[in-house]
Amino acid sequence: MRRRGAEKPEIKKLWDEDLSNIHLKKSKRKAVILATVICFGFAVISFRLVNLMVLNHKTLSQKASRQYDRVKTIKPYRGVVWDRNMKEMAVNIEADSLYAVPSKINDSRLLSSKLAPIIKASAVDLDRKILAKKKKGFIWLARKMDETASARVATLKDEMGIDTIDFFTETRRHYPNGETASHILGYANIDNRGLEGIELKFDEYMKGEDIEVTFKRDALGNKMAEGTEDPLPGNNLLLTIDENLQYVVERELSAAMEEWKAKAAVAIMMDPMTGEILALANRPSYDPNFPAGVSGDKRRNRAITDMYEPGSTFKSFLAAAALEEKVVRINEMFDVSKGSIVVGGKTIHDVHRHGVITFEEIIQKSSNVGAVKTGLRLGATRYYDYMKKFGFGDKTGIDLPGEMGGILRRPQSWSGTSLASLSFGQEIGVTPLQLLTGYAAIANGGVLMKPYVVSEIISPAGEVIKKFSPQAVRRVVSTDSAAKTRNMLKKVVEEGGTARKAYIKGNLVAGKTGTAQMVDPATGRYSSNKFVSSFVGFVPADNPAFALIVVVYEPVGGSYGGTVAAPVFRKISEHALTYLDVPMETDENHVLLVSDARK
Amino acid sequence: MTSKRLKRKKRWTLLKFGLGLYLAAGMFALIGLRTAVVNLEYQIGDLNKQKVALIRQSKSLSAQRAGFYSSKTIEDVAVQKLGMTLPERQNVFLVKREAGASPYKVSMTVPVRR
Repeated sequence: MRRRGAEKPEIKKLWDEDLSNIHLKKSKRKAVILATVICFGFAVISFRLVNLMVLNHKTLSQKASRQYDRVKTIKPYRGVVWDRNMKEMAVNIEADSLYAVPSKINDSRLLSSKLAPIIKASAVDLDRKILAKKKKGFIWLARKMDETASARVATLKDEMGIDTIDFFTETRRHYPNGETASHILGYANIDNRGLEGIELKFDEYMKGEDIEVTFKRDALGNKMAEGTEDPLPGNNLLLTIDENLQYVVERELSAAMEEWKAKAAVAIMMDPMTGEILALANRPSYDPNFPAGVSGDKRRNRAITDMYEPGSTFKSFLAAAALEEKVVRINEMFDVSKGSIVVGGKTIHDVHRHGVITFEEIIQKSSNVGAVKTGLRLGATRYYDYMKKFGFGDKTGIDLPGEMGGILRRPQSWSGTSLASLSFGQEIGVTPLQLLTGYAAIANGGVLMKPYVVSEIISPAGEVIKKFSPQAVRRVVSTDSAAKTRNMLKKVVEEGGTARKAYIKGNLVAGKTGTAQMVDPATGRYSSNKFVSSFVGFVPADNPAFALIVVVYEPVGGSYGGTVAAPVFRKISEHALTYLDVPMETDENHVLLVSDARK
Repeated sequence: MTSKRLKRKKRWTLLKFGLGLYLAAGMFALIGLRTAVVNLEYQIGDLNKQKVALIRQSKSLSAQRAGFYSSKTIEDVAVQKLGMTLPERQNVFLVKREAGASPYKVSMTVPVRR
């Protein structure tokens, strides 16, 4: 029994040991299983990670990039245009463009009816536009809206909870002076590309370069950090134009258009010493901020594209050539008392009979007969050479697009009356700019200067990339001949001359009137009631601050250049001389040398 | 098991625990940093938006200013609103602006006689 009793604890001990061994084994097995599961899990995760991050890295990162990254092309600002005093003539503003996602629009008719009045479109057309692109993900509804329209659309979008339309910010060209200098500046289209004027001519310099910016959007479409959004602007232009003078020229031109009910008018102001264009205006005109729908007639830069027969304004070149070739003397007497002359079977008349007059008076009184006699003395070849030297028949090379070279036929193709006709400005086609450039040569002492409107191209950082300096084309006549011609032109504005209405108190004016008959397209003959009235000159005559041409096409109620164009010249010149601070010509006692007595 | 072995085992356990804690803390720190970076990206995004809006406003104001400086606007205001007239040429005295002087200073600058 004792043995049995002694065996019991041993058995229990053994039993316990076995039991604990079994538990231990079980726990160990569990631990091994758990470890295996964990290891397997880690292995699976690791494999998946390797699969995602290494094996499929390229494909998946591209997929993620497609979901979160957005690449936006940033359009650059066009360069700014300044006048010669750094006043902004063309700038950029930002504007909202409205787009829609047609595939998400449920009720396009309702949307169209709400939007149409704001974006100034037809509701029916808008609805059709949306329906036509129903499967598309994007269509423009309105580009570069004004601020008011943009704000109204934003309010409508918020009020109605419309999420199928949104805005995209774009830059829009803005011309702060409206119509002023529109024919010089031209305009840029909806995609900011220059279409006319210097916007077109200097587009390559001004347009800048597109940049692409990548940015991230989260799942809700919120924009996260991105690269720079500063667009790279184009280069800026500094013009030779003076906005103040430009405004005065345009104001007076508009007044003349109204007064004479004219079809069109042109005025150009130039610094005769350098060829810099100070102002260039055309009427009719347009506002380059709203170029859509403007007729070609209003957009046309007549100053450089339209040719016309210059009439008597051309006699100055004949005079300069004749003096240079010494075929006449200033005080030489010419008998024009008959009032007409027959050349090549054609009779040429003077408007008034003048009797026996000096060569100077031929120009002062604008005698056609006297001019023909001078022309015949000069001869066809020599006269042609001088006309070419003055730049007629060739483009001036101004930095504006669309310039015409005019018409000047070679002497070989002239008829028996051509030399006579050319002597008083017929049988030749010139642009107002060509004529002014020729007068500028007389004004500056005989050198033909190349006209230009852009003086500098300036980088966005302010460095001058290109500078345009005054460029002498050639010497046309000697200083002496130019001075003699200037003196003759002074007489035109004095008592007995044809342009007394161009007289300016305080400064001597040199210039010439022109009244040219227009060719009637219906008959092919000179019209009896359609004229081009012009005055071209410079002031002060002996040291000109500017040369100015005024051309009025088809004035009603007047035809003479001295009546129609000369007063416009005077009004513009008086303001310009004041603005440019050109002193009045006085003697040592401060008495005006150019007083009303000379009128 | 000797006490040395026990000590070594204890130290190893502590080291493992510390390492685990360090890894966990590191992970939290990384997540925290990542969150902070994302938040900053949102802030930068918002600031960019503000910058774009300010550039837009600045451009618009510059354009308005240029419009106000145009000769037509000045003459319209002078003649139509203020009832001014264009003076005779003899009555005009030009005040030369000194280089670098702001327009408002011109009237206040006493010319220096040399």
